[in-house]
Amino acid sequence: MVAVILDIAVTLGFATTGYLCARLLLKEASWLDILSLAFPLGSGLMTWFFFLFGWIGISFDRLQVIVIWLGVNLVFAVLIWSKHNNFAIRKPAVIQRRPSLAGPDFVALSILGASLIISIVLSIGRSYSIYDAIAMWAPKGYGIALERSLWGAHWGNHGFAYPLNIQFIIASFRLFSGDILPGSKITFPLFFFSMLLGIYSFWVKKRVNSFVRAISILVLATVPTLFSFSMIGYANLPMVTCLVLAILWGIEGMEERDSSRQVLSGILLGITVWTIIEGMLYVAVVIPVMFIARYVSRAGQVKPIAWITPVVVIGGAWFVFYRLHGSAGSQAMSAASKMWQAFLQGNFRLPELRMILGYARRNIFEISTWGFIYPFGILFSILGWKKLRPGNDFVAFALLISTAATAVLSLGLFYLRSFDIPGFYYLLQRGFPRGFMSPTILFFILGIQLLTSFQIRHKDKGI
Amino acid sequence: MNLEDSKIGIPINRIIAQSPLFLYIVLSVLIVAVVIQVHLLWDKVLSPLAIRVEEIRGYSALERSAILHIGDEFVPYLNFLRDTIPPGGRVILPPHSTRHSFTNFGFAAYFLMPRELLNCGNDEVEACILRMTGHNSYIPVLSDFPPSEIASQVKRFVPFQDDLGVWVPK
Repeated sequence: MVAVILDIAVTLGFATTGYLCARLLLKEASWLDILSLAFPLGSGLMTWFFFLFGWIGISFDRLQVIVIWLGVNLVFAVLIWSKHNNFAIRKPAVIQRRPSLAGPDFVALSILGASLIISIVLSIGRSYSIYDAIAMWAPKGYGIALERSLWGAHWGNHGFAYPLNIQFIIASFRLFSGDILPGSKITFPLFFFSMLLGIYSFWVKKRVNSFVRAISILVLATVPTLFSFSMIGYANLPMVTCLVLAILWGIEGMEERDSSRQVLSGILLGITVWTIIEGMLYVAVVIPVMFIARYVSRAGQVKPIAWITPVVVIGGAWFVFYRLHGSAGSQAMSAASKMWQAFLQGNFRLPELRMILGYARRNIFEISTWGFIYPFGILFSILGWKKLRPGNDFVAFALLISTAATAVLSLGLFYLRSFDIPGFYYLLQRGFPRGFMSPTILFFILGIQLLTSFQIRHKDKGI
Repeated sequence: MNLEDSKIGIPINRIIAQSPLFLYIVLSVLIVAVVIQVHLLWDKVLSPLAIRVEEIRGYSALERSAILHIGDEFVPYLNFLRDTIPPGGRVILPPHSTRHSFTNFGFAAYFLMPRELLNCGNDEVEACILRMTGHNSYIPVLSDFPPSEIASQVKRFVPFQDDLGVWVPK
């Protein structure tokens, strides 16, 4: 029971930081926004500070962690007070009333809440029981807690080649509660449901019909691959959560010419880099793609310094660390080197490329893997194809090219690995779902966005 | 929308889309999709996992990990290893092989932390074992590792059951 209380305290500790950061940046936000941002934002920022302090030699003891947490939150609180004179956050104009008890929003959010509880129970119940979670994420976190140091991340596979967000989250639970449940596995369902709430909030703000958005979020929540990944302890879904939220806040920030929301998007992109090594590549394609979307659509405004600086600061700090201590154990660098050597010899592995494309074409229509995401996405894209033309709808166009860019990158990463991994088809079977979550989710958000071109745009004022 | 609109050139797909019928069709299709997905999710993921989690509810987090990834039969042996090898001990593992997850030192670390872990190299198993003369190194039996005629030269065998056990300092 004590462990449960301590695990809840750690979770709330992270969420408090996320709330304060969101409050500092946003002039107005709904409770959905706050709920969706609190954990991913707070945990990402706090673990990054733990990492920085660890790098300069401060140990990862309970006292030091509490002092760092208090210090960071105090700085946020002072900044909030000096900027807003108020800790409470204002609701956006589009969101003026609470959901009615019988309304579709309330029903959908209640079902999401129940699903979150199921996901948490099963996630904790199964403990760390899938290979990468056992061999890498958990032992690195436990190693940090064991050695009371950032350098404890040498435990587990791949040395310091991976960013340490998830590992420091796990380490925090281990440090305070011993992680005997293991309470750290609450992290993964929380990331998934944070993303769902963020998408839901985005649809509310885009005035998607309340019935359509309520049922659509349940379509997304019940995709077998996504729900499974909310329970297994891999960092892929947390990374996808940060990336998707960053794209949605970035689109909003650009559309509204709001630098604060672009800063928020930049922080989330930085946390994407800080969560898993592929995150750096996704961010590297998403940033130029969003610039292109804005300039082609001639809508909104990008504030490059506000948007890019947080990515450079958060991601850059880890990248320097990676170059100093991590690149020797990196699979990606080894694969890239082998691919380059093969290219120089004229070996482009075209059969593997065909294999990847063929596998992707079959896999995306497997209902037991992706549900009905792709059939719906394609159908809605056909119905709303006019909005996909540049200049017609910035949001739809930005989502379209973000989907395309992340899809090409995901496929490209498999192509890269085909140069390095023996038994490549097995890797493709095993790894495709986790590597293709970002484009899948973005494609579905795009589909629902395209539906708003029709009369099913929501008439009420949101929740 | 009225009939006049179609005469002034509004595309037919827009006319269809703006009718209430279109909304009902979209909602119906989405609801059917949710029902099918929930069925698949329950059938393929949640139900089997919930049953398994219920079966292993009384075990520790570490034991649940071992049961679900390696199998129920490995748990008593894992507990034996954790009881026999002291926390400060050094554990010598076979060369890494995909045949047994436990030969991966990162994987084994999760179960045996804070014990230090080392893999023998592929081409130097005999030399690796013969080097382990110290009073702090332990060699658990995993498949045909270590060869007993070599291990017996530097270690004493503590049996568990069947052929399993751990070679401890003499």
